[in-house]
Amino acid sequence: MSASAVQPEPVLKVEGVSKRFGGVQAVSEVCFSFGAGQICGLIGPNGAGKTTLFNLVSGVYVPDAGVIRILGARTDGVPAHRIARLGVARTFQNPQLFDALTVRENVMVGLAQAAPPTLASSLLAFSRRRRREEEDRVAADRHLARVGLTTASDRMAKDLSFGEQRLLEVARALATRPRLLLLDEPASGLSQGEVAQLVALLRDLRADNLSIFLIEHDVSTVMNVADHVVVLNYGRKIAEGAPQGVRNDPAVIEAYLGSAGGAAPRVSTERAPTGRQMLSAEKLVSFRGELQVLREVSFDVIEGEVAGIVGPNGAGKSTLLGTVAGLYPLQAGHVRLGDKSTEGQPAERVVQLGISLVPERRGIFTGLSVRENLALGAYARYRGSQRQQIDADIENVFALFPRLRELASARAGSLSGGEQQMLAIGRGLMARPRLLMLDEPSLGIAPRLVAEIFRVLNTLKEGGTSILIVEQNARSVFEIANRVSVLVRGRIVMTGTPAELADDARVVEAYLGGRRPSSGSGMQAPPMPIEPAAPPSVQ
Amino acid sequence: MRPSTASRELLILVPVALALAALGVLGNTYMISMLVIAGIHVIVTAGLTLLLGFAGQISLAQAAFYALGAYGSMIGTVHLGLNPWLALVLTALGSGIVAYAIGVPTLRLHGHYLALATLGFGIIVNIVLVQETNITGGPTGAVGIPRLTLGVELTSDRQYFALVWFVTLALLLVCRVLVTGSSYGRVLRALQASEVATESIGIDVARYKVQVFVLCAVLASLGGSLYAHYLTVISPSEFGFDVSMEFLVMAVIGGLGSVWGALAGVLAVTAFLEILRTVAPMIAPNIPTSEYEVVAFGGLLVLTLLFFPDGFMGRWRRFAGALRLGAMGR
Amino acid sequence: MSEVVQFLLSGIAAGGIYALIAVGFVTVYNVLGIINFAQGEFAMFGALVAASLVARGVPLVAAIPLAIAVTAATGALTERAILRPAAGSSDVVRIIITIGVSIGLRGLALTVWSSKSYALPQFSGGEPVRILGAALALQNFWVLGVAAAIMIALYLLFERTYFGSALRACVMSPNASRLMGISPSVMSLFAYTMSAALGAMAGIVVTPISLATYDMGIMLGLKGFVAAVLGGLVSAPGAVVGGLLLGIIESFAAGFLSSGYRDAIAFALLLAVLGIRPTGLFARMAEQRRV
Repeated sequence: MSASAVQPEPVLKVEGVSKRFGGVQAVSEVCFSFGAGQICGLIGPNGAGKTTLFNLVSGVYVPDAGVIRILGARTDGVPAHRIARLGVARTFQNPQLFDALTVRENVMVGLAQAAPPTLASSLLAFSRRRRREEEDRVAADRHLARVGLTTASDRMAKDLSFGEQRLLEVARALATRPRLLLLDEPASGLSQGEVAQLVALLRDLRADNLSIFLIEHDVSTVMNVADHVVVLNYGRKIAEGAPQGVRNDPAVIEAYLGSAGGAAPRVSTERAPTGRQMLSAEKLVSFRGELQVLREVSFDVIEGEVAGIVGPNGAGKSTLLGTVAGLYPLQAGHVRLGDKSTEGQPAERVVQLGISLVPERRGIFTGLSVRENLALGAYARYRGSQRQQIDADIENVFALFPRLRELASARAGSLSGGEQQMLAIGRGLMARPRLLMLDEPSLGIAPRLVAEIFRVLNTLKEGGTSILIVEQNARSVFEIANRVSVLVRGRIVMTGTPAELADDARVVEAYLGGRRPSSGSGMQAPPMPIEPAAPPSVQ
Repeated sequence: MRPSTASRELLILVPVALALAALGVLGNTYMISMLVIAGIHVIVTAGLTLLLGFAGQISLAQAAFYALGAYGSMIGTVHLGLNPWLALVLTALGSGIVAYAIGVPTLRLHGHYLALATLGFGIIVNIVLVQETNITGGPTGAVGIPRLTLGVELTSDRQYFALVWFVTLALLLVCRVLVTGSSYGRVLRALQASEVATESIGIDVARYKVQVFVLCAVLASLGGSLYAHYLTVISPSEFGFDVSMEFLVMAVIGGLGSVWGALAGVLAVTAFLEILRTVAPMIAPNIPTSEYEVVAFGGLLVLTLLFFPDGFMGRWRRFAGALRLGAMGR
Repeated sequence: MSEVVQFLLSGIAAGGIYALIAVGFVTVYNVLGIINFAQGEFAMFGALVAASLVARGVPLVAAIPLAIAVTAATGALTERAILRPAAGSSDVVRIIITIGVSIGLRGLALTVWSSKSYALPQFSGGEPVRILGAALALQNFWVLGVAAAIMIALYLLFERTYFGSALRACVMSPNASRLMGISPSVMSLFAYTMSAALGAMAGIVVTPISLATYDMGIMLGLKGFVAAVLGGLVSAPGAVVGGLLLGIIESFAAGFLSSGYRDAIAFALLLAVLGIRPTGLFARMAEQRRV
């Protein structure tokens, strides 16, 4: 890609970087580098440590070990604003714009990096100040033209659409004249057309020799735009190289979809579900901030069955469960448990009605002991008055997860990720729910423990518990679910038995992209409005 | 800066100045002296408005910097025999340096550490004022502070009224220009919207916060100097912790982030207390008004924040915005 | 020697009072996420209510629980009527609302009780106790005893009861605790009510020594707050240690240095801690709670 006559200095060089949070090793000994004028994409399943690594590079966290070099300078432990002054600009997953300023003014703040205004210069030196304002306006408009926001320059930043806000963040970043651009999930929340526009913009920036490092849930976008891809799993680098090679790497496919077979023993004596509807959800609509995450999702869970919902990161799986559980407001739609409606009830009421959610990233109470965590699982039922009953239920959980019995008095925060997941499931069962909902129980957990957890889920299923499981790790769900739905971009795109879906190539496509489905609408990207006159502002 | 900005400022400034001029000519002595104090309060409160609005930080020592201004001017003129204007400037510089020393260690941290530090600082200042009798006059205070001179000594309250409000409005206008019409103000407004994003652009957020805090302290000090030269008598009880709270209340009630909010807040609170003093004795003649005042003050603060969390100016801005949109629709 | 013992004992007694108020600060900070500037006013309120009841002939043993109950009810009302409706506002606004509550309560007290001082009898009659040459009024031991008893009761409540672990869970992870059926609104009400009751107790036990006035809450609240900051602001044990430490340092410094600067010592200590170690003296303890 880059002109490599003499040995080129890598733009970003990560050497043996590790970061640990409590009992969880988020990133361990990651090494990679890439050169000027390249786009490097960092991908990996949920919980793989992408965001942590991104925050290490951008200076939000300080690594426990290892060295990060940007443009030759060591940046680990350097405050964010100093890293920025080295020629590094970034965008945010949730756009962080200056709401009370106009679009143009947002970019002008970016221009301020070159010479941060001082109190004195702003009150004195009137004519010089006015001249500089004029220059900044012209420069800001040039950057806005670059990203196609010329017509919006006098609007307030907060009035922009979500996609325009992302573009404005890029324009503001460009105003600092960066040599390296860090993008935090630039495609999330964008429509297909907006993604295409973004991809074209990134390619255009690369043509000006700007280097770009991005993390992204939407793997197909990364494959589409990146020169170099780094794949993380369990905090470690599992693959690196050109997109085509990475996409066909069995280790990568396994990291995303789970390994076929071996996750859980197939049980032959399957108890037939009763046929009565346990949970029914109709046309659920939910927003997170300004972003519509669920677009009329409908599904049901039959009493005694394991229902699975799988899909790539960012599809809306966690929002779906959180909305059913009452953590997030439901904008439209209906949820019923048995014959009772639960919509509009707060989370603390929903659990009393019989729905227990084992949340994403487990949500255990790290400062309490394992036993205290389990006891609190029964809070909705007992209110603390029947200790013996609680103790008996805790014994039942210990029978399911013998490992927890040994750890009963340990502080929950000291447990490993897998042990914490067992604890979270056990705590969910303590409510004696009519429906147990699990949000990504395999997230960030070693395969051996995933198998152990799925073995227990199978046991519960045999016992007649109704379970709704949401997973990115599709193949492990195929092993135990009666029915599986695939959620993509806030919509359920297919539903079927595991046997029907296991060999369906469309499932792999939903995760890793590849051949775009031909039936889709609006696939053709609109032409990019790039002003040809824009001089290269990035050196 | 949009072309309408300057005219919008005049829209507020001109009526205010005219009203004040009318009051200055027609008002009785009581009203004049009340308004002199109110003008001084506006200067002190404006500092807090900027600090709360742009740095998102609380200072509980505004009365202490007010005291530094007053006592600094007193010491400069009475003990050292300096020209009052020179004493005023030197005191303001000194207050700024003190604020810098407090701000640098605390504003580098995330959280409300400035509130904690200023709490401690404010109370210590007040205790020193009481204890160091030789310099400050102790609990009974200091006397014999000269009036300011502008060619002639400003002996009449009406002259002082004109001076104070000229200075007040000029300072407000300077602050306003600083915030809305300059690249410096743009950085401040960026800071207010998102600290992480401002930092990611390469701007040292802490540095700007310290500067705003220094500005906040200097304004308080200027107000204190004007106060000392007006009353010519000062004592520690006028600069206690509760006074810091009152400035905070006036800032919050007026609305944060726009210096006009300080004007609105001070005038609203002053008017409220005056009305209370007139009305309360009619309802309950047996209870001294000063006792009601405190309850009413607390009540006013709580109710304002419950119903107008953005303060009066915030509500006004939204109202004005709605009017403009309505007009455009037609 | 006798002087040292004297300073130490009276310092510990004062420290006990600071600790009670500091624990109230910490509890509210952990659950509601704000610094409650009305904390000292609850001490004042409890003390004045108790003094009025006793003056009207109510026996002390009945007046004390009654005054605590009245103060706790006032706290509960404050949380429901004022803080809960403002739950969506920013921290700064909610902190300033507590300042408004403190001004309002102080004004209410001024209206009801005027600016006179009120006394409570010592909890038990008897000569001052002599230890190693130091003489200490008996009430100081009541202060110590009450503070110690409350600390033990609080420890048992937080660490040994089911409700206590639910409260701690709510502090650690509000969303996950909602999934257990723990209502953050109930916990917030409990925390605020409890810290009002703690304040009332502190105010009542200290009144036989230092009298009660409408403005006693300002200094008491601020010192309790300094104690809480010394302890890291998020840890109840840290607040207790911070309170005792503050009481002892203040007592010695006031004895050996100028007594006029007695009240400045606490705040000088506050500035020193913020300059050197802003997370409090016991940051490791604090780490386990929310930071």
